Amino acid sequence: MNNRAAHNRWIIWLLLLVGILLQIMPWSSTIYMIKPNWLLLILVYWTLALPNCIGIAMAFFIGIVLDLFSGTVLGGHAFALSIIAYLSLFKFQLIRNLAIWQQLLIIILLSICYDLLLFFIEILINHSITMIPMLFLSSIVNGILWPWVFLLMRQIRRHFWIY
Amino acid sequence: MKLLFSRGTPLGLRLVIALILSTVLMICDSHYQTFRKIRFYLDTAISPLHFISNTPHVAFDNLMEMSKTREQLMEDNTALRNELLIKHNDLLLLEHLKHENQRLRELLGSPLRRDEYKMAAQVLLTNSNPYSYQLVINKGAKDGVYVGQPVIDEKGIIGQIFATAETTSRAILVCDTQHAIPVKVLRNDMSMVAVGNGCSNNLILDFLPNNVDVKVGDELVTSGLDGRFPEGYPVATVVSVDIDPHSANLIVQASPTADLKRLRYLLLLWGEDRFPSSTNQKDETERTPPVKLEEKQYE
Repeated sequence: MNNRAAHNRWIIWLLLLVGILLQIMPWSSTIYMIKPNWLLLILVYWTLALPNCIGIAMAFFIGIVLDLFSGTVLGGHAFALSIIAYLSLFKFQLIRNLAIWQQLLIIILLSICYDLLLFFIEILINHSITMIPMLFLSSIVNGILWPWVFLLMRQIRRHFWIY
Repeated sequence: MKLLFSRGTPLGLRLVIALILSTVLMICDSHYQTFRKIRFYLDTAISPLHFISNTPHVAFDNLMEMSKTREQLMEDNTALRNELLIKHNDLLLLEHLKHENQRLRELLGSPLRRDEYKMAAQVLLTNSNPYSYQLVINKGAKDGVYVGQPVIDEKGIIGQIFATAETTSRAILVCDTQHAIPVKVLRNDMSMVAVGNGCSNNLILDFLPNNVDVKVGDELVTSGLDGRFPEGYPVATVVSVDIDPHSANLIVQASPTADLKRLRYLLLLWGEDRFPSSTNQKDETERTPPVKLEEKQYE
C-alpha cells in the first residue's frame, strides 16, 4: 500500500499547480471582491487530509511560486501560507472531525487571517497602500466554496487511493 | 494510527524556520539590487507556466474566431480596409508635418525628435493582486526589453517595464501607487507629475506650479522630462479640480486615457538610444542629445 501511495502523490502536486493557475487567473476588477482563494482551499484540504506529506515546507514552496507568479515581494505569500499551514496542522485532528459547517467557519477565519497577513506585509514594504474593506467578502466566498472543494477533493482522494 | 510527529522536526520549529526564511527573502528582495539577478533567473524558470496559464484564453479566442461566419469576416474586412484607408490618408499629411516640424526645430536650434522603434506584445496575465497593478507580457530580455521601457497602447501610456525575464516581462501600470510620470497640460505646456493612486481611483497630480491653470477636460501628455517616456503621448484627462479646505492647495484628479482594465495587445517603445541590437540603426549622423532638465528615478 505504501508503494501505491507514493505513486499517486503526484496528483496532489498537480492539484496544487491547478490551484496556483486558478489563483492567478485573470479576474474582472469589478467583481474582485468575491474572488475565491482557490489555492488556500486546496492547500488546507491536503494539510488536513495528509498532514505527514503536505506540511509547512510545502506551503512555503507554494508561496514562493505564487510570489514569483504574481510579482509581489519574494517571500510574502510564503510567509502567510506557512502560517496558515501551521494553523491548520496545529489542530488537524480536531478540525478533521468537525462537521462541514463548522469547518466552513474555520476556513472563513483562516482566509481573514491570510488576507490580514498579506495586508500587513504590504504595509511594511510599501508603507502606504489603499485598503479595500470589501476584500473580506472573499473570505465568506471561500467559506461557501469549502464544502464543494472538500467533497471534490475527497472524491479525488478516494478514487486515486491517495493515503 | 500512523506516525504523526515522531519523525522529523517539531511543527513549531518548522514554522519558525519557514518564517525566518521568508522574512530574509522579503528583506533581500525589497532592499538589495543584486537580488534582482536571482529574481531574473527564477522568473525565467517559471515563465513557461505563464504561457500555460494563458492557453485557455488563447483557446477561447481561437474558438471565437472559428465561430465567425464568412459574412462577418467579410464585413470586418471591409470595415478594417476603410479604416486603413483613412489612417493612411492621415499619415500622408503627418509625414509632411513631420518634415516641417523638423525644419522648424532645426531653425530654432532645438533637439530633433526621432521616431521610436516599436514592437507589439501580448498580455499574458493581468495581476489581480489588490495592492499592486502589474501585467505580464510575452516579450522579454531576449527581445531586447529593458527595465524602465515605456509601454503604450493605441489610446495612450499604460506604464513601464518593471522587471524582465528571458521570455516574459512584467509591466507596472500608471495607476499603481508606486508609479509616477511627468506630464504637461497640452493646452499651456504646464508641467507636473501624475502619481498613481490605485487602479480603482484616478491619478493625482503633484508638484503643481504656484499659479496653476488646469481645467476639467484638459488633456495631459508626457512631457519627456524624465528621459524615459518620449514626449507627447497622451496620459490622462483631468476630471476634477478641487480645493483642499485644510491647506488651500489644489487637488487635481485625472483619469487615464488608456483603458487599463481590459488590455490585451500593447506596444513597447524603444527610445532613440536603446534600439534593440537586431535593428542596426546606429549608423545615423551625430545627434544633439536631448535636453534633460530633470532626472527622476522611479521605483
